[in-house]
Amino acid sequence: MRNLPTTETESGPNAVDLTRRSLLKVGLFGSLLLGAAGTTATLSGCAARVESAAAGYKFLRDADLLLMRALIPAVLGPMLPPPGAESEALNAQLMRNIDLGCYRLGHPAQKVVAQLFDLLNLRLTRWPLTGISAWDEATPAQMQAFLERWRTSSFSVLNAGYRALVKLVSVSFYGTHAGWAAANYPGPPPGPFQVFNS
Amino acid sequence: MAIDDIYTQGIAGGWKVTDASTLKQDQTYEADVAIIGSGAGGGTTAEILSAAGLKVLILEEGPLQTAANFKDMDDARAYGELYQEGAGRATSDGAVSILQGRSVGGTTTVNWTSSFRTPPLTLKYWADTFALKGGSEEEMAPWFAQMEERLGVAPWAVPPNANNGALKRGAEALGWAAHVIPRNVRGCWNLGYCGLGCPTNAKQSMLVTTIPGALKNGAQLLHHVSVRKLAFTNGKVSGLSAEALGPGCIQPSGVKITVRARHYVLAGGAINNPALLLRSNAPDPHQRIGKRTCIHPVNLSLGIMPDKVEGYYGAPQSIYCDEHQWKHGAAGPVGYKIETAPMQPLLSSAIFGRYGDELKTGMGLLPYTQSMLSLLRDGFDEQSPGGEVQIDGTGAPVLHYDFSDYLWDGFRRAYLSMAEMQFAAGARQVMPLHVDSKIYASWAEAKDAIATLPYRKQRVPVFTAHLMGGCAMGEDEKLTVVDSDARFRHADNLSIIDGSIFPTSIGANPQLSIYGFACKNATKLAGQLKA
Repeated sequence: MRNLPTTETESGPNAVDLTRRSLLKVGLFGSLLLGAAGTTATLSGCAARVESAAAGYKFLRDADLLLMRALIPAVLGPMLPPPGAESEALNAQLMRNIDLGCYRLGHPAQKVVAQLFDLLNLRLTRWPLTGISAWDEATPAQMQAFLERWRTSSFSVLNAGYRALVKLVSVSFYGTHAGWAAANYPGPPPGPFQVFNS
Repeated sequence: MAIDDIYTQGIAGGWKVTDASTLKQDQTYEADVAIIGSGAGGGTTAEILSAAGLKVLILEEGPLQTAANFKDMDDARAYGELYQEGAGRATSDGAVSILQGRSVGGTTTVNWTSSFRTPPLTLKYWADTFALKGGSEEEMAPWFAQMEERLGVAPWAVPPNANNGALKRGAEALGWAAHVIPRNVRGCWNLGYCGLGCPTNAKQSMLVTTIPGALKNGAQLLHHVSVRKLAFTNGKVSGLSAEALGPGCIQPSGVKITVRARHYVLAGGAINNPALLLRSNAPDPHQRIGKRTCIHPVNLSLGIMPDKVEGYYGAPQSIYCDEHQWKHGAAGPVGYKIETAPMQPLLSSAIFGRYGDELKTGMGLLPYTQSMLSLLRDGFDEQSPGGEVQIDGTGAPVLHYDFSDYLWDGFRRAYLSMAEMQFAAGARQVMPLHVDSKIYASWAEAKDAIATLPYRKQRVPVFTAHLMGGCAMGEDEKLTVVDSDARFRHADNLSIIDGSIFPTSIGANPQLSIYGFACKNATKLAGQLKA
């Protein structure tokens, strides 16, 4: 166990209450993940997914990009190159992969992912659920505390969110050459690869 | 040396293959038989019906991709383009990840080649419980033999890779029976990239066997086309409406496609067939469509070996262990088949489910990691009725699947068996893949931990690559959607020929079961349509 959530962000009945209330208030992410997919539930008005995708993206919105910028180092931190051009290029590639991954999902799954992102981007729900007030100000330790809290939560909806976020980021990475290197995977067998591609 | 992709030459020689994304105007097609889906069921049916002289039209939602695409052996490309929902398909609550193919050849283009006849106990259970006729071991044997011959199915004659070798070693050390897996390959290079599309055409998928066979017989293949609805009129299907998809195979292009045929065959798999029938308001007096969807729920265990395993190289599945599969016959506590999983990094990270240092350390050990998976045999007990396919407001399929204590007990026992085998095979450490598991250094430690891990949704990561049921077959009309010949009960000219007609899971990788029943049912259908 590492990066246990600080008392500030989680412990005590208040935090649990807040979490419960937030979930009830927003409801939809839970209700959908718990098996009512196909209902017409949406976040009422305030955070409906009305904006179009961010420039250059098919699914992710500007707010989602901020979330991903914080999430990628939380999931992959020890494997990312130090800040610089290489790191920026990799980050851009991972964001595109995550975007494409979401875009390829069918309508029911897209709706759930969109609601997960809405929940994380709406200030009203983000803080009680994650302990983070703004993605672009979150430290890696805070991000890992958030992931650990969702992983160990007794709400299976939050467990599902944890699994979805970690999977989105890790598969975006391990399909790249940087990811292959991190896995000590040498790539396809060079002999046959040359034969097929010469 | 470029590998012949088969289709370039075939199309130049006159094969009728149309990429619907290139169509500019609405189209109407006519055929004797329209087949929706080009996987194990659709491909087999297309070849048999076209050989009988029938005019066959194959409609495939996915793209036509061939050895020319597969030569990069790139997991990101393959999972994104050859699988349903870019390999991101899941059950409605996200608890089960679903790997299901979506390109010409369907899942056969990306499966791991394991080819088992339907186990006799499964066939007997179907006869006893669903009144299936003509599906006994003796009656099915010639159909399996015919397809084994057609697809080069034979026990893998090459020594197993280290991943499968460990399974064999572990089983033997414990006195459990392990056997060689029959594979549908000819001239296999033993590369290990079956799941990404075979770059050498060695895998005898529908893409390189029955679909080319059907095209040679004059069949037409239309890909990038999503079938939206069947029209039911006076006890018949009177037509089919579809949408062409754009080049990316995701969004409709705007071109509408109408098909009129004498007979229609659904072969879109256990999720898409029920969804199409539900979208079409198909007659269903006993509410059976989409029920009893079985998935062979899978859990996994990783073993860290002292020597390199390189589970990403070599035939992905060549050894299996059925020690825990049929202990109580078809009934009793759920049985499971133990096999291995190929370990290319993208798929490995998807099953690993960790972040930060834990992810880095675990994935960094990939070359030393041995993987085992257990396929639970669902659908054989009251406490395992399978899941249910429904549609959402847009008509898209949603699979609900729940787990009872009967199945959780199966996962627990499967973790135990896999960990015990991995230690017996020489693993230094074992990590049952569970959200709360750690890496355990001894069998005793692993055993204790597995006993106390929580068994519920989102804590046991569950996977499936085998979708079965939803349109069950048999003579008991209150329990089934099609009869024993795969004819839809409530329309004269509709058959369902693929894995969706299985009334339970198979208890083994299902492709040869699909081929065998498709061969039987399509042969009978050809006779009826020619009469």
